[in-house]
Amino acid sequence: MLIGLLSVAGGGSVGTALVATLILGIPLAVFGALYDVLLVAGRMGVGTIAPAVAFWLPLFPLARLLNEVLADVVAGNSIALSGGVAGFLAYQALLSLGFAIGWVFLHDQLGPLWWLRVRAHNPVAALLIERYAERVDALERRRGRARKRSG
Amino acid sequence: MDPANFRSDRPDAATPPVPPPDQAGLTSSVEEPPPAPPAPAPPEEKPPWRAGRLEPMPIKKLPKAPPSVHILGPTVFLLALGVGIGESYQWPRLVLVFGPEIRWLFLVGVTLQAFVLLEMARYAMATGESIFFGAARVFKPLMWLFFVTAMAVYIWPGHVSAGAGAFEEITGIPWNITATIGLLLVGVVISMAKVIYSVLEKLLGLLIGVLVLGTSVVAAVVGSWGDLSSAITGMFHFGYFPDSMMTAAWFPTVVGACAFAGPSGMQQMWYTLHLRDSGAGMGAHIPRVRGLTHATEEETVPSRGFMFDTDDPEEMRKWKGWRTWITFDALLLFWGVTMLVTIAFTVIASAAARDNAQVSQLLLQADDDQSAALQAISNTLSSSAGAVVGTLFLGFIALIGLNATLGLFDAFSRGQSDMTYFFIPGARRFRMSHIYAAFLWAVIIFGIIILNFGPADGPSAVLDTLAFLSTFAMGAYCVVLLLVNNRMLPKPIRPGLLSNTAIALGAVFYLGMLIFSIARFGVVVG
Repeated sequence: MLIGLLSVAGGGSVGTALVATLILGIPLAVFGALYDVLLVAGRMGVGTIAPAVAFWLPLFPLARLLNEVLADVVAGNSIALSGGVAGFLAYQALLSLGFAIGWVFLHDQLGPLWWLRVRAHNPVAALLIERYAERVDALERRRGRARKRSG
Repeated sequence: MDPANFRSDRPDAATPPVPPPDQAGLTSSVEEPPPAPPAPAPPEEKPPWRAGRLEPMPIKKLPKAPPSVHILGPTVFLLALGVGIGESYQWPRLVLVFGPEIRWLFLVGVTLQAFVLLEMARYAMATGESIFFGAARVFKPLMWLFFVTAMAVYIWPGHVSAGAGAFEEITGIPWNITATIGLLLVGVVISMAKVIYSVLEKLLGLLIGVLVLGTSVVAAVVGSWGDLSSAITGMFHFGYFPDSMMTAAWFPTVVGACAFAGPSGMQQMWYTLHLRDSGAGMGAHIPRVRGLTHATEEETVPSRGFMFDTDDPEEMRKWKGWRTWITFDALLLFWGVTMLVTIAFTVIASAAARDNAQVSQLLLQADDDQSAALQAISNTLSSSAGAVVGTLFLGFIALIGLNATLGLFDAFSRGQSDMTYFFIPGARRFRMSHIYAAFLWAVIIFGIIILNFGPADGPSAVLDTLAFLSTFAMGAYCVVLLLVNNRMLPKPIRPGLLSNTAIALGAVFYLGMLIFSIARFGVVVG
C-alpha cells in the first residue's frame, strides 16, 4: 500500500501504482501470512532473526520471480530475467537477508498493535498475542528473579 | 512487547543497606561456648571504587543480562545516526569514481566503529556513567572539549535539509516548510514522551525497519548479481589506493567518507547515554530521562555512577553475559545492518549510473551537487524500473533525514544535559529532564531560524573548522577510550590487547588521515 501511495505522490498513475502494489505486494503478503501461521503453530520463535532469515531465503526470491514474470506478462513483453533464472534467484536470495531483518523489525512492532485491535473476532490474532504475551511473561519472570538476586 | 525492555521502571538508586555485623562472634568468647561450628565470616562491605579524582563509585549489584539475541536496543539510535548520507550517497559515489575496490576503506571504517561501540559500552555498562563523565574522571578539560565541540558542530540543521529536499521532490511541498514542521514535530513527540528512550527506540526501530526492508526491495528490483558481487568483493581489496585518489580534489572527500562510515563525530559518545537509559549493565541503577510533560516524575539522579564487585565470580559471570549481549548489538545489528544498507544503496547507484550517463557525470564531478545527483538517480530508476522505484528512492533519503533529526536532536540534548547536570555548578537545582528539554528546544528554535534565514550547514567561514572538529572528535574519543577504560575501570574488566590495538589503530586512522590531508593538500575533509 505504501508503495502504491508513494508512486501516486511521485506522479505515477493510479493504475501503475495498483499493478506495482499487487504483483509484488500480494506474494509477499501471502508469505507474510504463512510466517504468522508458523508463529501461531509454535514452529517459529517470536522476535528471532535466524528463523526469519531462513524463512525468507527461499520465499523472497520466489515472490520476486512471480513479480518479474507477472510484470512482463502484464506489459505484454517476453519474460526476461537478469542473469538468467539461477543468477536472478541467487541475487534475490542474498538480498532476502536485508528483507528478513527489516521484516522482523517491522513485524514485531506493528503486528502486535494490529492484533490487539482485531483479536476479539480473529482467533489467529488472539493466538499471536498469546505467543507474544508468553514471551513477555517469561522475560518478566527472568527480570523479577534478576532483581531479587541484585537486591 | 519488545524483549529489549529489560530494566525496572523505578530503579533503586540508593545504595543497599550495609548488612548488620554478626554479633554471635562477639559474645561467644564471654560465655561458656557450646560446641558449634565456627560462625561464617561476616560479609564485608566493599569500599567504593575510586576512579580519578571525582567522587568514588559505590558498589552495587550488576543486573543479569537479557538474552543476547534481540531486535530493539540502544543500537537503533546508533543506526539512526550512523546510516546517513555517507551510506546512501557518499560511498556509492566513491564506488562509481574509484571502482568497488575502494570499499575496503568502508569495511575498515565500519569495523573500527564496531570496536569503538564495544569499548564505549564497556565503560557505560560497568559504571552507568557516560563516556563524558569518564573523560572528566581522567582530565576534566577533555570533557569540556567535547561539550564545546558538540555546541559548535551539532547545532546546525544541515541534516534536515537533505531529507526535506527529497520530500519536496516527491510532493512539491517547499523543503523549508517540511523541515520546520518536522523539527516542531520532533520536539513535540520527545516532549510528550513519558520516557524518551522508550518512545524513540520504538519509533527509530520502525523507521530503520522500513529503510532496511525498503532498500533491499528496491535493490532487488533494479540491481543485478554483477552489481552485488562487485560491491561485496570490492571490500576485500585491502591497500587499494588509486593514484587519482591521492589528489587535493579527492583525498579530503575520501577522508570525510571514512569518518562518516557508520556513526561519525560524537555519535558513538552519545551511544553511552542511550545504553544507560536502556538499563544496560549498571545503567539499571540510574533513572531515565523523561519528556518535558513528565519531567516531575523523574527520580533523583545520583551524583555519580556505580561499580559492581569484580572480585565476585557470580558478578563476573553476569558481566560476561552483558558483553555477549553487546557483542550481538555490535556485530549483527550495527555492523550487519550498516553493511546491508550501504550495499543496497551502492547497488542502486550502480544500476542508475549504468542506465544513465548523466548520473555518472554528476557523481564523478569532484565538486558534486548532491541534490542534483540524487534527483538524477531517482529519475533514472523511475524510467528503468517504474515511477514507484524512483519515488521510493527519494522516500528513503527523506526517511534518513527524519531518522537523523530525531536521533541527533535527542542525542545532542542528552549529551549536553548530562555534562551540564553533573559538572556545571548549580545545575543540579534543576531536573535532568528539564535541562534536556532546554537544550532540545534551544536547538530546535535555532534550527528553525537557520533553516529559514541562514546557512543550514553553518556559516561558510567556519565550515572547515566544523569539519575538522567532527573528524578530530573521532580520533580524540579513541584516545579518551584508551585512557578511561585502562585507567578508570578495575583490572578484571579492562579491555584486552585486541581491543586496545583496534582503538589505538582508530586514533591513528582518524587523526592520521586528518593531519595528512591538511599537511599534504591543505584541505580538511570533504
